Formats: sequence, C-alpha cells, structure tokens
Amino acid sequence: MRLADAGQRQPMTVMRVLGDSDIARRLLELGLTVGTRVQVTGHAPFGGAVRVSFGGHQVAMRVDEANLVEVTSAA
Amino acid sequence: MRDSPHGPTGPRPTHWGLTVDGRAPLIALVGNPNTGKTSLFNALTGFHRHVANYPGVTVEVARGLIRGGPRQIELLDLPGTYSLNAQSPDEAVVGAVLSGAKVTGPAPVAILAVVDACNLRRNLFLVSQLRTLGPPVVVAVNMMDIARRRGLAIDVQTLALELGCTVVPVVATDPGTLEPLRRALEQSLQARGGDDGAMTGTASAEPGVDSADAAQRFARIDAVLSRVLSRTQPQRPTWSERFDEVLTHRWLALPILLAVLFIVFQALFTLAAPLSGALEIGLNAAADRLKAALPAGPVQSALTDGVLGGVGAVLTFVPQIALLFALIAILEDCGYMARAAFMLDRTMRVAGLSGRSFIPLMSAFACAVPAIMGARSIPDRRERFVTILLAPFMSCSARLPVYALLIGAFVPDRRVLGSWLGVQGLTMFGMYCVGAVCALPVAWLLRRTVFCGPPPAFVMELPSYKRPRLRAVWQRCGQAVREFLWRAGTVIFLVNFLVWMLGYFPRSAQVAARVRAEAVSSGWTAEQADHVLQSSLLENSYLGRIGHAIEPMVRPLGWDWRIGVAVLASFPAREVVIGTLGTLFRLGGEESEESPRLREMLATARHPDTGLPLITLPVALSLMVFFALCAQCASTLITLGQEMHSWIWPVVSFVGMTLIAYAAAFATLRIAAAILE
Repeated sequence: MRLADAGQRQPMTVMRVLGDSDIARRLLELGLTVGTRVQVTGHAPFGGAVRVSFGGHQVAMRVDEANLVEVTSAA
Repeated sequence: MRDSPHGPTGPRPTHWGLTVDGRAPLIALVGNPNTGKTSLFNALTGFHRHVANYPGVTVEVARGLIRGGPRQIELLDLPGTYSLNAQSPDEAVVGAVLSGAKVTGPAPVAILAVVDACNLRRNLFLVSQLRTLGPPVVVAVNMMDIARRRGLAIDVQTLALELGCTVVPVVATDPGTLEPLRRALEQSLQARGGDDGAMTGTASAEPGVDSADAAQRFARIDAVLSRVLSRTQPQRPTWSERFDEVLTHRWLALPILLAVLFIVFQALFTLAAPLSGALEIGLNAAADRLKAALPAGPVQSALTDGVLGGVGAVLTFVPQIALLFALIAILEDCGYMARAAFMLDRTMRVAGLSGRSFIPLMSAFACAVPAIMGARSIPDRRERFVTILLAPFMSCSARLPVYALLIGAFVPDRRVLGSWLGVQGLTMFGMYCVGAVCALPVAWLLRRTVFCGPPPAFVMELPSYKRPRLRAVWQRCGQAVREFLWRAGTVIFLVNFLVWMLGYFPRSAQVAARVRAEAVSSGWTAEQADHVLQSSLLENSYLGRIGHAIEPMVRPLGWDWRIGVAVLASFPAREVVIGTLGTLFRLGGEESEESPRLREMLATARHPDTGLPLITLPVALSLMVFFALCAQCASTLITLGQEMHSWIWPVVSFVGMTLIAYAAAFATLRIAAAILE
C-alpha cells in the first residue's frame, strides 16, 4: 500500500520509493529508505497534505508525494 | 595584510590553500536545516545575525572570525541543506562554495559539519557526502542535552572511529561546551599544514545522484548507528509532537492560526500606538523649541517643517516596526511558521504555489526584501519566481506608518463585540488582508501564463517547537530598527528636504503683495491673512505647480494635489509619504505657537475653495488601499531584479502593481462613499 493510505498512527515499514524524480530522491535523502519505520501522524486541516514521522523527525508532504512511498504494515 | 602566526611563509598554490592572499584560513559550516547551525556560528564568532527556525533562512553566506583561539580562523555559515545534490538555489550555494567554484574567495580548508543529536540518521547522510569532498571534516554533535533528555545515549568515541573524523559533542547555547570544538578545529588545520602533499583526496568524487547511492549510504549509516546509538528509556511522544496534536489539529488548527495572526495585528495598535504618540509629542515639542529659538525665514522653515516635520513624522513609527519584526521573529523562531506552511499548503495550491512559499510571503509582512531573498529556498523555479513577484503585495512594515496615521486620524476609535474588538484594529487587519487577497488572483494568472507548469512538490521538515530565543528576536528587531533609522537619515531625509525646497521656493513677492492687498480690502484678521498667505505661497511653489499638473490623475481617487505629490515623492520608500505630508501640511498651515500633531492637521485640513474636509474616511481608505497594493519601494524592485536575473520583471511589477493599486483605490473610494453616505 501507499503511505498516503496508511491509517493515522499506524506503524509502517518502507518498501521502496517509486520513480526517479527529484522529489523521490529527496524523500530518500531524508531517510525514507527500505526498511525505515514510518508513521502518518496527522492530516492538514484542508486535506491535501500529511504529517509523517520517521527517524526521530517530522516531515510535511503532499498526498502526491506520500503516494510515491510504498509501505507495508509493520505490526 | 596580516600574518597568520602558524601560516607558511610564502603563498601556496594548492586548491585548498589557506594563505593565498594572506587571509585567515577558512572553515565552512555545513549542516541540515534546523540543527542549530546559525546558533553555533553566533556562539563561535560572536557575530550575531538573524537565526530562525524554519528550513532555508540562511540565504546569504555570512562570515565571522572564531573568537578566543591563538590563531585566526574564519568561519563561513552556509545555508542548511539535506544533501549535496542541490534542488534549490540556496542548496546549490553549498556545493559551489565547497568545491571552490564560487568566486566568493578561496575554498574552505576544512568543514565543520553540525549534526542534530536527536536526528543522527538523517544528519549523517550529509556528513557521509562531505567526507568524499577532500578537506578534513570536524563533526559537531549539537543539542546533546535534548538527546539526553529524550533518552538517547551517543557513543561519541565510536562514532569518531566509524566516521574516521573528529567528533565533538556540543550544546551551541552553552559556551562551556565550545572550547573542545575550537581546539578540534585548530587541530584540523594543523593536520593540514603537516601533510601538504598528501592532500590528494580529490574533490571531484561526485556524490551519487541515484537512489541506489542514497540507499547504500543509509545502509552504512544504520550499521554505524547500531554500534553508536542506544536508548536509555523507551521512546515516548515528545512534547513537541503533543503540541502538534493541538496546533495542527484538523478542526482547531485554522481558528488558532487566525487567532494568532489577529493578536499580532491588534498588538501593533494597542501596544505600540501609545509609544508612537509619546514620541510624536516629544518631537513636536523639540520643533516648537527650535522654532522659538530661530528667527523666521528659510532656515527655521527648513529645520522645523522640512527636517523635524518630515523625518520626525517617520521616526514616530519606530515602535510599531520594532514590534512587528519581533512578533514575526517569534513566530518563525518557535517553529510555528513551518506548521502554518503545512496547514496552508492546500490554500496556496489554489494559486499554483505550495506551503513552502507561505514562509517567505509571511515574512514579507515585515519586509519584502529579505522575503524575496528567502525565496531561494524554493526548489521549483516557477514557484520561486511567482513567490518573488507576490512578496511586494504583502503589507510590509513600511505601509504600517501610512495605515497607522490615516486610521488614527479618520477611523473612529470605537469598540465592537463586547468592547474588546477595536474598529481601528479591524481596519488595520483589513488593510493587511487587501494585499494578500489581491495576490491570489495575480498568482493564479501568473501560474497559468508566464510561469505555467506542473504543480510544485511539497516536502518540508517540521522542526521541533522550541522557546523563541529572546536574544535572536531582540537582534532581529534591533537590525530592523537600525535599517529603518538609516533609511530615515538618508533617503527619507533627502527626499523630504527636496520636497521642502520645492514647496518653499520661490517665495513670490507678487503673491504676498496680492494676498496682503486682499486682506486689507476684505478686512481679514491677521490670523486669516497669514493662513491664506501660507497656502497661496505653497500653491505657487514649484511643488504646487507639479501637484496641480498631476492633479487630474489623482482626482478620481478623491485625492488633493498635496496627496498626489506625497505619493509621487514616496517612490524610493513608502514611509516617505508620511514625511512629505508632514512637510506639506506644515508649510501650508498657519504659524501657530504649538505644532499640532500630523494626524490632527490631516483631519482638520479643508479644501481652500469649498471649505469641505480635504480628507474624508472614503478618501483615507482609498489612499490606504493604494499603498497596500502599489510597488513604491526602490529596494524591493532592485532585489526583485537581482533574484529573477532580469530587469524586465521589476518594471512589470511596478507598472502592474501601480495599475492594480489605482483601480482598487478608485473602487474603494466609490464603494466606501456609497456605503457611508
């Protein structure tokens, strides 16, 4: 499944980041590499963006970007 | 030229050569955004500069000498970056400086990499790239105290062994922890001096640009961290995360954001206005004393009407400007601004922008110049250019005096909604909204025409909340005030002096004689005669002639020729209009014993022919709306041209904004007049 579809506060594990765009590379450089534990911690008030927590920091990204991250449940 | 105590005797031709021009050796300070990099820079150099808590605030490369060591070392504060594979102009600066490609001076001889102790994994990614460059790397692990409190134990010795470079734990805000770092930096230079020829680790080792490279690096980092990092207590949500639960809550977030913004604008009026009033009374007293001490004539008029009446009127707004800068600095420094960007991403998307452009645009409410430069942190070129063009639409602190003066003079000081909401504060809030609201369709239009392209991506770190550092806020405030005073002392002073000269000369003897003859034949009192004389002389001055020439253009906006002249004269900086009005109304006014306050002069001014009030509430509103939307600021236009690498855009921006401002001012006058009558 994609990170954008993960339930709030559900622990997830990154499988891969799709594509080779600049933004996909930036996601990797921020640490969303294979095996990283990741959690969606919140949604923006008007939708369109999510707060994601991994590796001890929080990152805001659009749903479009969260859709680039393939994850699987870590539970 | 000075000699470095440990430096070699002759200039060295090496790529990393430190004394090519006899300067102190250069160390580059590099790190992820929000690692306390700039705080560390300030602590090491004692050179203070604006520090804020959101990605990409360090848009200009600052230099400073490290204090307290036996030899001189220069530190270079580079913009925060996550990777050497730059995606935005400010990230590109880092790579350019480190490789010595930038013509800003010699390339650094060593790198000081700051990493956040709470976030080692991501931070070490950049360190692993830096290690491939060549110069020795010293790693400063910052915020060790916070990591300890969160239950993270870091084995610094093992980390140093694994990375193969010096690692020093520090707390940037605690000077006691900095001495070991200073020594490590000196050692890194001495190591360099010893093995000159061994410096073969070429800088050409390009960091990988593919995803496999990132995955490999992180795999190595994870292996290192498994030996270095341990938890002394189970992971709990930090208080910063708990804060976010409320502040970015789906339903609570927007009311909180609006409340925060509203409090800022109310505070500007309720806290700063009394101070401004007191300042104005003091300056008027000084003008009166000066007037009494000097004989009547051009010198007296130049000093009281020109200098004190003009520059003095502008100076009374220092408290408001200081407060506005302080409040915005607090919002940035505590980390709330990044949340606002996250929450408003959707709204910005309507205009074809992202939450990322919100931060420069918000800081444009203080001043458009740093905001335009702050746009360098935006990776997408089209989004960056649109953000730059929108920045002048935000009501900057230079508009604040214009609003404050006109609101104070013409908007009734009434309270509504259970007496805690002031109508004046509401009007001010409305003026701040005008620019932002007009900016949306402009952005929409630009994104569909000249800067047409796919919607920009939005990925942004949300740094932990922290208590705003009062010192950083205070410094930013002080800098803003100094710059404002500098402008008041130079540009505003010169323009006002010019306005005074044009308004004072020629002292036509014919006009004076005509008025005197009319006074005798009509039996005016001395006071009446003097009033008519002063205003006739002003109308007959060079300025009066210019004013009457342009009056047909400003008539539709409800403006008198004097307002037209004041607006024209304020092209270099918006605040000039206050000084110009001060000079104009003083020149044309009667010679009373006590100088009235400028706002009273404006409120009581009447048309010479009809005797009707010169400025009514609709006229004041039309003038305010014009200033909210016009591009009357030379420094903004120059910066805009520099950042967009084009001299066409400043012209387009000026002409476009002036047309929009004119149309909006006209509409405001009509609508307000229709409602209020």
